[in-house]
Amino acid sequence: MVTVVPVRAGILSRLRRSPLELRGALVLICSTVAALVWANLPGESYAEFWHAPLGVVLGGLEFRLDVRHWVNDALMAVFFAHVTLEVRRELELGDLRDGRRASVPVIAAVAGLVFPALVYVSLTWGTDFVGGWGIVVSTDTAFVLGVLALVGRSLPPQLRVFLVTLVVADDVGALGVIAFAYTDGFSPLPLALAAAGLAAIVLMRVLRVWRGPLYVLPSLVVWIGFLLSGVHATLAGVAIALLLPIFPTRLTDVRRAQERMRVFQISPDARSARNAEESLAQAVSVNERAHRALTPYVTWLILPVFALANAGVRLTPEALADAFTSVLTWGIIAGLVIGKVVGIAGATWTVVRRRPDALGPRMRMSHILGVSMLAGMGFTISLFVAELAFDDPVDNSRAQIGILTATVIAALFGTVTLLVLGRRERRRSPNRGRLVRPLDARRDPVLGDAHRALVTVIEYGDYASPFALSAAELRARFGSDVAYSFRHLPLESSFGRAVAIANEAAAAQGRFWEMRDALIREAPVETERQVLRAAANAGLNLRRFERDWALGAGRIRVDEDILDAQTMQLDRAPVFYVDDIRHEGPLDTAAIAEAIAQSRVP
Amino acid sequence: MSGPKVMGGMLESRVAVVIGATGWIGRVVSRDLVAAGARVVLVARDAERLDALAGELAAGERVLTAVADVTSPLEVDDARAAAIGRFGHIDLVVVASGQITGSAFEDGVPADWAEMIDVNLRGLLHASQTFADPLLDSADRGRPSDLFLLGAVSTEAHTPRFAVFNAISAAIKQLAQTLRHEYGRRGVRIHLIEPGFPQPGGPNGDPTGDPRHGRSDSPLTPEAISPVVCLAAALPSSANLAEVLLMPTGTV
Repeated sequence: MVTVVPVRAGILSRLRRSPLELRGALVLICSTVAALVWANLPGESYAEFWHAPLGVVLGGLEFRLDVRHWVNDALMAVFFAHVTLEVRRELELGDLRDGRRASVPVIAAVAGLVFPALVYVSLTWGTDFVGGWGIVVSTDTAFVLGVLALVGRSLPPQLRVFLVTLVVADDVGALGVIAFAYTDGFSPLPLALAAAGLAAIVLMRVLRVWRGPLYVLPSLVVWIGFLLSGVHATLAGVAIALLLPIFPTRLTDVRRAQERMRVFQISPDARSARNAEESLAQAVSVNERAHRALTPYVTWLILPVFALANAGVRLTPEALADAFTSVLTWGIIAGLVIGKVVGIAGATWTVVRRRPDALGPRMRMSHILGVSMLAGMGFTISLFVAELAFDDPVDNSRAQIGILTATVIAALFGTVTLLVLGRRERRRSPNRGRLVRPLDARRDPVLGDAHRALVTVIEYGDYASPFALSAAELRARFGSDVAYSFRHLPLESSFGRAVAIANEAAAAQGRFWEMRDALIREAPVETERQVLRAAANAGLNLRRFERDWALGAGRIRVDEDILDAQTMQLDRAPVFYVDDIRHEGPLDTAAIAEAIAQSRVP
Repeated sequence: MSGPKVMGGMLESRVAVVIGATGWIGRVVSRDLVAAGARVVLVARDAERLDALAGELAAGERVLTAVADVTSPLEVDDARAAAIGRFGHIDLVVVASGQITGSAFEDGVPADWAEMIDVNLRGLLHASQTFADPLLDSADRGRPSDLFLLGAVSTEAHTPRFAVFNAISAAIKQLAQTLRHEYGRRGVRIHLIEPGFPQPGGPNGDPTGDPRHGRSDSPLTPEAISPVVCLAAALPSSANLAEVLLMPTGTV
């Protein structure tokens, strides 16, 4: 017992600290296993439960779907809305914004849609199963990102971006397939209802209605419109999500929120509370707020429930024997496992041959190969399409067995490949996630006593935000247990490097931290005038400062910092290193307290 | 009351900066410098009073105004840049900014002390440092180059109720003497002009009175101080009228 308890606690706490994608994938696996167990229990409880009708009766109107359709048509609309929000974000702010960079994963995604379908069709040509080609086109976003979170930690972060772009483009394609190939009994009139609902959402947006729950009613109208029209109802989620705009948070909005918060502090009444709440909410785009609000539901409820409702295949010896002699099953397995690899890796290889820099400096074809294997995990949308494509329960069971088999094979191959690659990567550059240049009191300005402190914190930062902590605030927060240092990571503008050199010029007068504080108060620092004002406020000799700044004596340290940051692949500021290990998330008192506590453990 | 006539043209070709130009002493010094033919940069905190003074002087292109608080190094630096931008060089700087508050020492308000130290001492340090470069530059080119430090009373007169002000005056005197060593050999003349203000009501009067009340009927007016500035600046550059103790006639 004595040994068991800490081990269990260790696993639990490690699990709690693991990435959300990983935990989500674990829950998804659990619910898949649960579905399989449930479906294979004696009796028909699984089928009876999911086919039980559920509905509302309102006067003479009756609206009824079976439970599985509620899951697949209603809950999954939320899932598709969630995916669409991410697509929109990547399109406008993320890597898809840059057409050249986005083109490779998009081309790969298209090939990854087409090739599996071709493989499937060529195997099933001439049979009734040809219509199931849509099963093999899509990749399961949740599973793939979960596996990558599990095995991809020592792989280049660009690989995740590539994969997200890939699965997002892939989802768009899959949605198109569902909309155009698997929509039956199309009647255009109810679409007017959906359009009215969408118009209401646009109107609310124009009127700056910011309370999320108010959007539920028009969203319901849109969903019902799509459902009645015969176009797949989940597309309602896509349509709504496409209307939610995204923009980067503007400093003016943050300032306004701060002012309103100030008003609330001065007179804490209901009105000022509402104003503050509103300005806080408006500072962040609706897209991001909706994405964040939906993420826990999608991860913990919608995807697990979907797996529970759809993955329950009867795995009797007869069913398995039937499935593995059916061309349908093998068509799906071949389509997902072989078609995805050939499509994605082949297309990328072709593009890279013509444009050798298309993947960027850190990704190699071997990475793409591993990712393309993972992409054969066609779980969620494949099961979804199988349900649409085949009415016959036998065919459906064959398709499900094929999908499950393909998903397991793809997961195994992809995981092993990426693990091997990751190990090689770690051997090649063991410093990922670790600080390449430890704190050196001769070159780094240090707040606190580097020799006596229990923990060192190194910030790689710039002067873009006026809300960074000042030196006095850092001291007050972290106390004498922490030695704090600042290194330069000027990312945004070309002037950023000049500002960093100005900070070093102040260090020549022994006023590094005073200058940093003064620069933070001026942030975002964009003009020479701001730098001079900061220098004056920091109490510098302006003549010497201007001379030193022009000479750029501090540029050696600045450029070393920039180079180190590139080596460590830092692409946003600020990044913190606590005791030489990269710290994820905001650096708050709790995180530092934990680091101090750990440093005291022998 | 008007002082002695300053000779027109005696400071022609000089570029002077008067810091605290709108003050009691500063405005008279500014007027006399203009009358002596110098080009003058008027530096003060209050834009309106500065414009009014420039209007009174009516010297057209020879006068430039620069709004700056002497306690802000950046603003003083801007004034320097504006002066050089307009006139090309600076060879005469008068620091006439300062304020005075007094009370019995045990009743003194520390914030008043801080303000006096800020303006009279720290401001004077900023101004001297900021203008040291152009003054040294002018000296290098063989021009006469003068820095006048006013705003100190005689450190010999230990006027009661002005302990802190007197302490600052002593600091300014020390600064002037040290700077004279540092800059004298490099051709910049450092002048310290110490007006001795009489005790209100005469040597036997009430030592608790406020000498500022006596400003208007003080025998020692700015009109007496200002010609000393012009004279010292007009001397051949080989001679430095280093320290001037100006006393009301009849006091000892």
